[in-house]
Amino acid sequence: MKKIIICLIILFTLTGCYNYRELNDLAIVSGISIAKVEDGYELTVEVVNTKKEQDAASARETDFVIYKNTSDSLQEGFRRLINEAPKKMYAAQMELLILDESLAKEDLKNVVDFMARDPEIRSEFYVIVGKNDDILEITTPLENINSKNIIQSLESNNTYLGSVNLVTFHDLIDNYLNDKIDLALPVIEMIGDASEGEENDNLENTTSEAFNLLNNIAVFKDDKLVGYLSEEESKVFNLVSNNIRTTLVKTDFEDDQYVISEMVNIECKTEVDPKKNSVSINVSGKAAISEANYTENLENDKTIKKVENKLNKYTEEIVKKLIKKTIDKYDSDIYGFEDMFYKKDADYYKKNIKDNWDKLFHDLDIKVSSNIEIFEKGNLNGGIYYE
Amino acid sequence: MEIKDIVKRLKKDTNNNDDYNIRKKIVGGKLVYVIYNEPLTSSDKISDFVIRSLDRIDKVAFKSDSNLEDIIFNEIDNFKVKEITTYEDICYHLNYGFTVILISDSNKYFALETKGELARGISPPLTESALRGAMDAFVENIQTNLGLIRRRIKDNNLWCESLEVGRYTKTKVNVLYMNNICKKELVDKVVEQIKKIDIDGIISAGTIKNLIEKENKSVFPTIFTTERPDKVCQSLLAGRVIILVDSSQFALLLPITMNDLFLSTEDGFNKSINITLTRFIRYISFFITLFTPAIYVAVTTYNQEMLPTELLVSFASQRSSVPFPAFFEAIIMLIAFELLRESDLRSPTFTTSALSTVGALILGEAAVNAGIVSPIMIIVIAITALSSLLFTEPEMINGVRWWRIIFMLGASFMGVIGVVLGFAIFIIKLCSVSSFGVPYFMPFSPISTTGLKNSIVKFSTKKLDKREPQLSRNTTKLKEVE
Repeated sequence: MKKIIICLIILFTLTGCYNYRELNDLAIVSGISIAKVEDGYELTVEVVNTKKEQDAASARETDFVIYKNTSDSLQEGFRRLINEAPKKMYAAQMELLILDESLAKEDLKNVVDFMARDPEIRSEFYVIVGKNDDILEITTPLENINSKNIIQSLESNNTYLGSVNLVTFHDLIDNYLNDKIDLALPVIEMIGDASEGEENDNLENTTSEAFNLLNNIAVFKDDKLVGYLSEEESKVFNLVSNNIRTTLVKTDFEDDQYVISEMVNIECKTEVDPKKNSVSINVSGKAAISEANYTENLENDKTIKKVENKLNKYTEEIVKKLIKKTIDKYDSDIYGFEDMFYKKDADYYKKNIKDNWDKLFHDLDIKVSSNIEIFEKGNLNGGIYYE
Repeated sequence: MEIKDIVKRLKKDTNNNDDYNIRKKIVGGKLVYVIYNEPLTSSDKISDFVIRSLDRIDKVAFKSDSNLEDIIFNEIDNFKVKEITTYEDICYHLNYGFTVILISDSNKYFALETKGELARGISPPLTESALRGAMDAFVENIQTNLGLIRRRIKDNNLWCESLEVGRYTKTKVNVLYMNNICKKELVDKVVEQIKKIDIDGIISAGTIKNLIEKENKSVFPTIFTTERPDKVCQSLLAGRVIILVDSSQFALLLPITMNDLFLSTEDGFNKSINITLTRFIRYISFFITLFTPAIYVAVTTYNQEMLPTELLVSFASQRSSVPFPAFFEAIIMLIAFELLRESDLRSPTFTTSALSTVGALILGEAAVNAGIVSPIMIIVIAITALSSLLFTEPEMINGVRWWRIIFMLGASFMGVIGVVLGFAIFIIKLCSVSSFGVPYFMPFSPISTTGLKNSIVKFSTKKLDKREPQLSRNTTKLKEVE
């Protein structure tokens, strides 16, 4: 027993302290933005300013610091940040990766390889496409850290409005490795003057000089960005891909009348039939009327039925329209129909579909049915317009 | 031996000490010595009963033809008259507070019980307070303590082995057990171990505890000390052995398991369902007090990825002004806390308010402002200290300290892996300990269904109808209640 104890003590003292790093020596990276420039990659790294909170003297300092570097490889670029920064970059807590439009239009291979290879970086951060390359640089009110601000709006948008989808790096790798699904990433855009947005003054006005705005969804084809969807289209895409549970749908009636209903518990079932080359999509869920300038009595079951029918019809229509558009305009299979065919009948897929997918894709027979039920109409019974 | 020689020898042996009072009397025409040790005896008892009855014997009871010894033995007013014959016995009884009567021309001497009240009265328990529970505690007098127990258990099966330990102190040690519940071999083992002790003196129960417990085996206590008679009676009924030591107000309870340290006599008063929650908190607090500093060291120096980002940022900003490594910071604060606790225990009550002010400064704002420690470290130490104070057995708190340091060392060498390794060693060590033949980690390992019912989850009193078979011969505790 004594020998074992002595051995243990020696073991402990002989080992160095593997992976020892004091918290004070780390620059905590919260977000990274990567852009493609002529001579390689431009890295923008957002580092949390940990000095600020503790030190009253640095109250005027910004909450985060941006380090930039241009290099022809990502790893070198990251390492060279240390030329400017006093501490080593620590990216395990990174939460947001912004792929600049310039990069997204070209190739993501290098980025995916580097990020997936690095053991320190975790794979549960969100990936988003940035329309400008200085999105990380501006200061944000309400949330101190820019990337945190973006993540919060991403998540709340996905929960309440549904015009963006949430894609973590893990999903991205999955998607990347599976050539039967095309990528769709949320988009963010910086509005205003970036040079003013960088300063703390940006926080001193009620309206910010520069701010970030979520801007729907970008469509990829073969891992290259090919186009953007509108807000309406993004919602429909999310609905079909089961990315959201809640969204708003506007149903138009004659004479500029409309009913806006909030759909909840949305579930979309997609059935494929490889032999008939058909896809049938069934949207089901519930809806609550949240706004209406409709002059008929909403208390009447018949009227509700009518609105319901209209809503279902409209939903079917927009779903069909969007799928047609993505197929015809972008030639992009963001819904993963090809993958569904493969999963349904792998043998048949290998024999008949794999080689002629390009042709079959355009000839897809798409059936959409919608089965949404109105279950609530708010605190008003008939409606102000009716009364 | 002539009684005059005895007196002479006594005077010589005690260096003519004033404490030994020798009174000469003539009773029935014979010389009688009344000897007693003044500090130990009650002067009232001696004058009222011994001297007065001797006078009465001289005047009334004594007839010239009768035997003086018999008359004294019969007529003297004392509830306890012992016949002794040797010089050693005389000395022994004198030192116990007896009054010894020597009669000339006789080789029989009498020892009369005239002990003085040298003990304080029964007071509430000071070290083991309970919201609900008996408010009497043991005192320094073993007879009072025995009384407190016998008052609760009125049965002939409460047996008591009386022993005497200590060459000079001749301390009375009583081993109590329930004859029909307790395992005989356990009692024999304990009695044998106590008999083996040959020491100059026993001043407190702690000496006995350390001598019969294999002290170096584990840092955790394998014998429980308590000052609560209700706890003692509960343990007696569970089949445990109690050791009472004269002039010590703490009874020793054995054998015990780890789980017993988490129980409280108060638990019996409250609803089992509520106590279950309390037990959870006690167990959790045990882990908190063991692991918090170690985990703090691990996550700030190795495993930063384990923390949520916001927390990490907050940690980092709080640590940014601290020049020391996290391990060193934690050690500083632990030492500060131990200083505070130790000084608080040692100091008289009127300095504690000053102490707590100073302590709050050391362990608080000032230390943070001075940049010695980070605010989060204060929280870590505070919760560690708070959790450790849940246990009434001081030995437990002391034992936990060692493991806390071991875990911290593990954390400072290998991060969370080090803590896990330390924990593995901790569990192995705990499982290898036994308290007088009962595995220390029972009821968890080996699993004992009776014990589990009264561990983290406390079953209702109706369901706790069996005694632990490892402890007792007779396991039926509660018969069917309607």
